[in-house]
Amino acid sequence: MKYSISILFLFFATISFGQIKKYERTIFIRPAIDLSRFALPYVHGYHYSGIEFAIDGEVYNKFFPTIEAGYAMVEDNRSDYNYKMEGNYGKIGFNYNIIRYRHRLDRNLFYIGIRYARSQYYHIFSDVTIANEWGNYTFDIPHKDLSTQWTEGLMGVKGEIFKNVFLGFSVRTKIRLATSDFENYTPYIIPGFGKGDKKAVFGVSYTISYAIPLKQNKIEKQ
Amino acid sequence: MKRVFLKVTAALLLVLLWGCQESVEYCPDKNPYLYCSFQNTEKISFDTFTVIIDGLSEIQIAQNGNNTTKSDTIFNGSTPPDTLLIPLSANSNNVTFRCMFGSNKGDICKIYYNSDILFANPECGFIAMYSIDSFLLSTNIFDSAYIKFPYINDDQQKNIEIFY
Repeated sequence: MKYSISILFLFFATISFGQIKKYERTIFIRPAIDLSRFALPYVHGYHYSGIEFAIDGEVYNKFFPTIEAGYAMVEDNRSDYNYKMEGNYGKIGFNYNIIRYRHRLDRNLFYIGIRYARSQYYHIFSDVTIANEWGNYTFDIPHKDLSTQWTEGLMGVKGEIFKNVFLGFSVRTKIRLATSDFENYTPYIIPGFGKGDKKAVFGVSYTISYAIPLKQNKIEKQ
Repeated sequence: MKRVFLKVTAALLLVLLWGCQESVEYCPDKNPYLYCSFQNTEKISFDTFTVIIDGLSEIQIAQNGNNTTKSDTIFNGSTPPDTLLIPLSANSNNVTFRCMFGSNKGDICKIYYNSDILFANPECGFIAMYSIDSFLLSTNIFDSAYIKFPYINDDQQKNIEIFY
C-alpha cells in the first residue's frame, strides 16, 4: 500500500514537472468512468455487473500515463449448474497522442497506447448435473482463486465536448500472457479481459472523463 | 480537426464491428457413447441373440449405418448388431454388458474407463470426456477383442472391436 501511494505520487509529480517546464499548459488529472460497462449486462446472456474507472494525465503534450481499475461479477443460474465469478483488475500503461497540438488549449486526443493488466478473481460452480441414461450425477466445484495477466494494445479518440469534459472511445486488442491453471473449469470471463476460453480478444471502452486542473496557467492572448 | 476526429472514429467503429463478430461455438456431445463393434469372422448365426447392459433397460445399436434405440434387447434369429452404443457414467469407472447366444451360451465384457468432466464455455456447458483403460472378455463364443480407439468422442469411431 505504501509503495502504491509512492508510485502514484511519482506518477503525477512526473506529469506536473514535464508539463510546466516545457509548454506552460494547464496541468490536470483526468478521472474517467467507462460507460460501456453499463451496456454489458444487456449483451451477455447471463447476469453481469461491472464498473471501470481510469485516471490519466499529460506529459509533454504527447504521453498520457494511465491507470485503470475495475470490478466484474457474473452470476448464471441454469438447469444443469449454477455459476458465480467475482473479481478486480488493474491496468497501467500510457497513451501516445498522435495529434500535434497547435494551440495551448488543444486537448483532443487521437492516441495509441499500451497497457499491462492483472486481475484477481474467484469462481464457483455448484449443483453441476451430468444427466444421461445412467441417471443424474450431481456435484459441486469448490471456490477457486485465480489470477491472469495480459497486455493490451489500443487505439482511441478523446474529444473535449464541454470545458474539461471529455468523451472517449477506444478499441483494444488484449493478449493473455499468464494465467492460473483453470483445471478443466474455464471461467466465463476474466475480469477486465473478456472471454475465459480465449487467448486474445477485442475490447472497447467508451469513457466520459473530467479534467481536474491542478495548476491553472494564465491564458495569454494569441 | 473535426474531420480527422470523425474519420478516426469511423475507422475505430469498423475495427470494432470486425472484432465483435462472434465465432460460432462448436459444442461436442456432452455424453458420447462408447462404440463397440462386432465382427463375425466365422459367419456364425444363432436362433436368438440377447445383449444386456447391466443397469440399463434400453440399448442403442447401429445396424447398417442407422442408430436405433431398442427396449427389447433380444435379436431373434440373427447375429449381433454391427455396433453396440454403450453410454458411460461420469461417476463410475466401468461398464459391463452380457451377450447370450441361444439359450445356454453367453459371454461377458467388462470395460474399464477413465472419466474427466470439463467446463467448455457457457454455450456448451459441462462435457464428460472418457477414455478406455482396459477390458475383460470371456471367450465362449467371442474369440478376441482389441481397443481400436481409446478416446470416446462424438465422431462415431469404433472404440472396441470384438471378433467371434
